[in-house]
Amino acid sequence: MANGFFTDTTLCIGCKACEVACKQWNQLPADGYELTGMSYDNTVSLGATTWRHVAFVEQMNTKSQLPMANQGQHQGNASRAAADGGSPAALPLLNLNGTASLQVGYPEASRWLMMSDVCKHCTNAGCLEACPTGAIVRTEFGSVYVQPDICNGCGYCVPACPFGVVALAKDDGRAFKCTLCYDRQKEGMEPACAKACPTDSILFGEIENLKQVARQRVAELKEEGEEGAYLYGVDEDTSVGNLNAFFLLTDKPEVYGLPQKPFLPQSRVGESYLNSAIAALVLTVGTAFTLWRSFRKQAKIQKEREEW
Amino acid sequence: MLQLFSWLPFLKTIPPAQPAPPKTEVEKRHNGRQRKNRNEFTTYYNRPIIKKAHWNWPIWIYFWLGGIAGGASAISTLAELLGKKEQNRSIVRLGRYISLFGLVISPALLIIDLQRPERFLHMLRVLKLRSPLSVGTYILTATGIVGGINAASQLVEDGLVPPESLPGKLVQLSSNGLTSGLQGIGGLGLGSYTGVLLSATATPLWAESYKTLGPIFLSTAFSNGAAAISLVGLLTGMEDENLATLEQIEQIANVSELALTTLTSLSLKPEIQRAFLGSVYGKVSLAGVLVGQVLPFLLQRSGGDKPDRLRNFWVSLLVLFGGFLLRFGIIEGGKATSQNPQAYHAITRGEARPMPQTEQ
Repeated sequence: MANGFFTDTTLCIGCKACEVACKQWNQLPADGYELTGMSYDNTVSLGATTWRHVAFVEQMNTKSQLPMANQGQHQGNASRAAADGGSPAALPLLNLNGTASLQVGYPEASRWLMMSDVCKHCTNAGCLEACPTGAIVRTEFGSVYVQPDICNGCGYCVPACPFGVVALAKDDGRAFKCTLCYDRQKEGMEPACAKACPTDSILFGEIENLKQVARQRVAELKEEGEEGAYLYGVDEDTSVGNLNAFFLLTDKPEVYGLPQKPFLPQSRVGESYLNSAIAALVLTVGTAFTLWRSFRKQAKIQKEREEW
Repeated sequence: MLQLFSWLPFLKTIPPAQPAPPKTEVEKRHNGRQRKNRNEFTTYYNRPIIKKAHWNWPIWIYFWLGGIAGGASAISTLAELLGKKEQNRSIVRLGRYISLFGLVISPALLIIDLQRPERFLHMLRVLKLRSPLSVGTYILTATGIVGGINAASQLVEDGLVPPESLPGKLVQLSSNGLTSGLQGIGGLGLGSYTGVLLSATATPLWAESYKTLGPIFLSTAFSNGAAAISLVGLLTGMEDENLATLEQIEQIANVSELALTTLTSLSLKPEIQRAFLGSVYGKVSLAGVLVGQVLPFLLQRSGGDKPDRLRNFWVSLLVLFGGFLLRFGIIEGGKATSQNPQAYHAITRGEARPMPQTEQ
């Protein structure tokens, strides 16, 4: 049995309740009150004391003339939306007051994408493989867990994570990340973020069930005209494998700060060792030859001297 | 600065930086706040995607000293196996003392680098072959033990510890060809595992050069080890013949280094080249290659075959200094590339996901 998250970004309203619930339950300290100015995202990234992070992608139409501003273009817009795969039935909504709306199926309109990011609890986890102390383990719930009593703060898991999730706590020194609320799961409760999510954008459950729900949701969205909907972290052909916390996205992964095709850093370690061994052989032979030649020469000179 | 070296073949492949597009009316009105269309998003507000390693000065020095210790161990073991007593002694003796110095300082540096140093023994709880850090811990521990035994036996041989005393007898009992051979093998591991360790991360520069980083570090270990032995040898009156031998070893390692670093920088993706060679650390690495590999090579070539102790001194010093610069540049340059989302996207590019067409 493996539990995980299904985060449906089309349902996220950016309330950050998951961030707050996570901080409260896990007693994580605040990160300060700095405003980034780039969007409503002032959390910026996941870290040692931030295990949920809501990303805000503000895709604003920068054209001075918004497509809906001119009522006369209505007909043209309808045919265009239909050609783009949008649902003509949704069009009346667009024309209430002639301003752009966030209606699906209208690629020129401004839109907000919001995604609650979290540790992916990868099938093949880079942090887990890197950890030299065995502090990072896979739990009975299928999640990847850092045991705080073992971690000695070597920091090798930090660059080994292909998603930039795990981090060292500045004051504490040890590595921390989302535990998938191991303690709550032990008591049969769902993680705090999923519990707090008011729109069920974050769903918690058994992975196989979640996948079914997610696939159904993608089909539903496509039917409604959101052609770009797809699942990130399901049926992935990468060395990281499927993600126990997967996402429904409607734009390219890079837009949300996710790699298109993450790779497991350790997947090529055998080749690195082998190449090093070959180099070691070549350099050893070269050095040995140099030394041998020199010693032979020295022996010869000494022999000549003795003969004299 | 970079233009100065633009004749170098691997620099020619760096595409020129794109000039920033002029600000539109809307962008001006929004005073720096990014306001982008759907099609203009290629990263998440240019924020780093992955985290950078926390390594700094203890690791710069460790990678350098550990390399010297590894190279010196391998060279002294080979010298002992191949030469007769009176010929190789100066190389073996200095090689063992230098590696002992490195093997004592290195664990201390690594423990300082831990954020919870009191828990350093947790490293020896498990052995994980796919974690180069775990493998390296055992390599360093084992090499440290045999290196200590061999250096102690050298002390007895040099008459610094009386052979009849209890420690003298113990050392003579425990040190033999096996410990010497193990130190050589351990030295090879110590010289190369650091490169493997770096390449087994998501950091763009290191991950991209996973094929050559171990061999590059091992080559610098050999050249730096030989340079350290000859530098100390020069100051303690080593024979000209052995100095010349060490210089040849340096040359072999230098050629291998130069070939590997050129090959690696050529094979990097343009985004990573821009992020790495465009940063100050890329230039430091370049300086490391010039100072530690090109300049010593030219000096050695220009000098001819005659033994020249002054030239030897400068060559050794340059090799050691260049080795440090290169390691520093690779560590810090890698950290710089990890903060560059374009560089990380470049190494994680897969087939595009089906997206609806949007009008430009």
